[in-house]
Amino acid sequence: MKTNLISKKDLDLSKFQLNDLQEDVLEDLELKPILEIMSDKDKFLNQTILKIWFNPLNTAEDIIYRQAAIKDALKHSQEIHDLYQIIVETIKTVRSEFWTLDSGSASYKLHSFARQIDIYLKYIAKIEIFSNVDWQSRNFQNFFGRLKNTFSPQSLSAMHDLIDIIVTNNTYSFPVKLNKNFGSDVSDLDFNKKTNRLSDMMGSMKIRFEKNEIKFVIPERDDDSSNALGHYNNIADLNLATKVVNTKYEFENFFNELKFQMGFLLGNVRLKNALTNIKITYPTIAPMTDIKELKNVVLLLNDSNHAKIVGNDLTGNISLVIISGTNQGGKTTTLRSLGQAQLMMDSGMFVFADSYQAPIYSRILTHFKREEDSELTSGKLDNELYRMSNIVKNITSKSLILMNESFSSTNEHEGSQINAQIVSGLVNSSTTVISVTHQFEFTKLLDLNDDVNPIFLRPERDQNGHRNFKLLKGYPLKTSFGIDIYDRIFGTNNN
Amino acid sequence: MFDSLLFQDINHQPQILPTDDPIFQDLNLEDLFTKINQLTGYDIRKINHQPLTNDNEIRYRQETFKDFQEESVYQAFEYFTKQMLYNFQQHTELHKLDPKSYREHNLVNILDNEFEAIDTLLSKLENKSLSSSGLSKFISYLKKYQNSDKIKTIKSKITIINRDFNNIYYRLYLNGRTVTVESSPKHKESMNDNFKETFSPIFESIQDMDSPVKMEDNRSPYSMNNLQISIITQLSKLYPQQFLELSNFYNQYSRYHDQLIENTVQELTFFLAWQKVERIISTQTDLSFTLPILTNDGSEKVINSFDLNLALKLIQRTDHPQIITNQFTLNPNKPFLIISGPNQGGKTTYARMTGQIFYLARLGIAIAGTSAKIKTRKNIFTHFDRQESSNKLSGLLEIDIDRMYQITKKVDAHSFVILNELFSSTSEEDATELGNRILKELDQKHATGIYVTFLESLGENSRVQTLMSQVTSNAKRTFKVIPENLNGQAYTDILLKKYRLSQSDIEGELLK
Repeated sequence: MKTNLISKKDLDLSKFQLNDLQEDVLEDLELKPILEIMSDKDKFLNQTILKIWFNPLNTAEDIIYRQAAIKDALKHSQEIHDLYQIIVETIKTVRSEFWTLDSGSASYKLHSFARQIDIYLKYIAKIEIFSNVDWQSRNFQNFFGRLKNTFSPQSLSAMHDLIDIIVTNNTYSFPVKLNKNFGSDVSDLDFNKKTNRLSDMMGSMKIRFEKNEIKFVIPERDDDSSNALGHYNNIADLNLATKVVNTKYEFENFFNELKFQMGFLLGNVRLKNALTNIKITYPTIAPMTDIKELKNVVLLLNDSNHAKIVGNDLTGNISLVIISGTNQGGKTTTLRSLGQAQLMMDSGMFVFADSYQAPIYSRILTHFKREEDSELTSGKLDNELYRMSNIVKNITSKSLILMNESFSSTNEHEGSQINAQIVSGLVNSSTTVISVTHQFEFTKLLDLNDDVNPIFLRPERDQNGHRNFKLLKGYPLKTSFGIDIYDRIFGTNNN
Repeated sequence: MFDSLLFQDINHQPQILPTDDPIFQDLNLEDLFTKINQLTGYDIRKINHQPLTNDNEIRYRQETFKDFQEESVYQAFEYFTKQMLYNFQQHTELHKLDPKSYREHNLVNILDNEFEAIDTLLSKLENKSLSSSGLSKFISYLKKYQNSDKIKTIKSKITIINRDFNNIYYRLYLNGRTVTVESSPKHKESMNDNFKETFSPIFESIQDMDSPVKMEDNRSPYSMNNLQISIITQLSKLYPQQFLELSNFYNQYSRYHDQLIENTVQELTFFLAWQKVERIISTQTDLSFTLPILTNDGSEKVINSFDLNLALKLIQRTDHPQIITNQFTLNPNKPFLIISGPNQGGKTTYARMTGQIFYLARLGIAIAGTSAKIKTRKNIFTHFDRQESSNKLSGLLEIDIDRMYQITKKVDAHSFVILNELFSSTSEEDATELGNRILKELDQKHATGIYVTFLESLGENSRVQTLMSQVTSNAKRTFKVIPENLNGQAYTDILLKKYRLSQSDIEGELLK
């Protein structure tokens, strides 16, 4: 049974663990507040969203497919919420009513798993009711179409009846062949229709009278025979039990997959509902980047005065973007907003911008200056280089690397040399780099290199030296504007 | 007339060496034999302790061993031997089986399997030409046996019984503790098929419905359980004719067996075990084995040989270390090899390798190497320094000398003597003197051998060939042992050079 709500293929549901590089991205791009809004701090949803974020989609087709589901979900936020509750309840009921051991004989598994299947059947019927909703997307329409097709009223009742026979059956019979070792080669359990007890007894007496058969009774204390009997039952049950167990797993997987996909959609509903007045857009995919009024999601979530928050633009065929200039000029915020939006786009989500067009990146990586390890002066550069080498090892085709004041743990000359070597190497191997830097010498070195063609951005600055946190294209100036801040804070501005 | 694969003359066998003979420990042979039993599952320890002394007997086994070097011949006999051993074992345990009809039916299976194994062997070897007289004679014996009237009669009875019992089907009805056995049952639809039909629509691919599930207690028990005994008892009433047939067969043939075939199968395990071990090594490494050419005079030579026990140990390691091969040459003019070199450089391994060559050659099997020409040594003596008793220094020298005395008394022109770090518990001067005396003593008896020692002056003896274990210029051991004048300084020079502390290094540095 396929879910296929947010992906044309089933998703991998195995437990997801962020690796070191992904931890860095989560930290550096400040993704946690977004995650908390989407998951409402639910552990499962946290896992789900992280897994989807860090397994980006690879094709425009996949992105558009998922965008369609999200659009539909935002239109039916109540239904998404209700469906998710039903799914959660199903899984909880199965788990709490029958706690099944992984080990156990075929006969044991046959009965306990058959009961669980019955529970799933009950909840399938509840989910089917939502097929009457006016779903807009193929994603939802097809999902409910498949569900109705597999679980028509007739087949649901046939399934239920068969489970009932398995669970209540108390006369066993099966055909056997005497094997070469004089043992019993037991075949599959016979199918005995459920009939009323009296007619069953009468019927079987009549039939058996005509048969060639001998009866014996196992003595009370003969444990060996009792064990063997249980054993023959297990063999007779084996193929059926295997099917029952796999069927149960098929239901379980279906519900887990459904929970995963519906959970992600619910997260999107929640994020949109948290910022009802902010314009969202569904990114378009193109080699050229064209972004208008992109806003940092975390700033939006933290500050209710949305009007204050400035959006940024970025246009061009970007392979290298150098953001330089004033401290507190919004450089890091902008860098993060680009990273956030790209991550959201690559996982099929909407972004908070007026318009957003960009290529797909198979991987987003971050290399941010670490404040916390400032005491380890000697090891800091080593650590930075180590992290960068780790990043380089993990680069796949078409990656985006966001660098924030990298290699500033050493003097500017050395740092610039390292930075220029690394960035040139990355850009020349068709990796896209967006780098925030104070290193004037680094940008000079890049300028001398004909192979790289950077776009330079720096904060806008009015005549009074006031900044409005908007980045504009502009060649880096030799000094950062720390003095501006100093002037503002100390009130020493003479203009 | 065929009577044995191991001995041409089965009535004149060589003696079985006592397991406390020092060679088994010193040459790591005991360890090797244990490994071979473990690796192959055959117990060939007794034959391994009974080395041959007659060159013609050795060549008789070598011929047979050569036939086994052909893959298809080896495979055919390997399968045959396994089958036969299993059935012999079953036969000896037959009396333990209950109920009676089960015991009776087992005899049918055992004999059937044995004839089947013989038939399979003969058909596999049909177009193969065996060059050894031992195997050729055994095969003709088997052919005659299979074609005898007696065997043909037994076979035809087995065929009838198998056909009749292969048609026994029944249905079991279980209700509480009541079991009903119904003979010749009718077909019924199974619950399994019904479930498949009803639930298959939920599966994307139908095979997923039958993916293996871990379940306890789902394999048939081998032994006859009480329930099955009851069932068999009922079946004997439901199928009386077939069970009578079975009893008659048992009464006639329960004691039937062929002693020569049983003996020969046991003998086969010796060849198969060694062949298997050599196959394991030569497929996993580039090492080779060779059947040595036995000679009476001239120099002896074994090319690319190695310590077999060490090789077996190393191939089991996960880091796959390279196994170093060495050459062994012994010239009649220089009947003793003196080996020196740094510790852990492969001297003792070389000495063991040589001892193994002479011992294993006497078993009639292939030895480690790409080619070999050697004389058969009827006696091999070893004396290895026993590290563990070094706390009793005073007594040790005495034990050493006493042991050497015992050896020199017994040695002759057919002896090979391996001495390892002899007299290490006394002064260098003493040890040199003692060593020279022992060499002279052994030479007078025309014995040959190896002397592993750090005493350089022993190399000055005109009747010895000196060898050194080798190290590279950065002090790495190569485990190669090659003819070279003894030079204790060589290794120290290498170490000094590595750290740039040799006299010339230091001068060069300081005088710059």
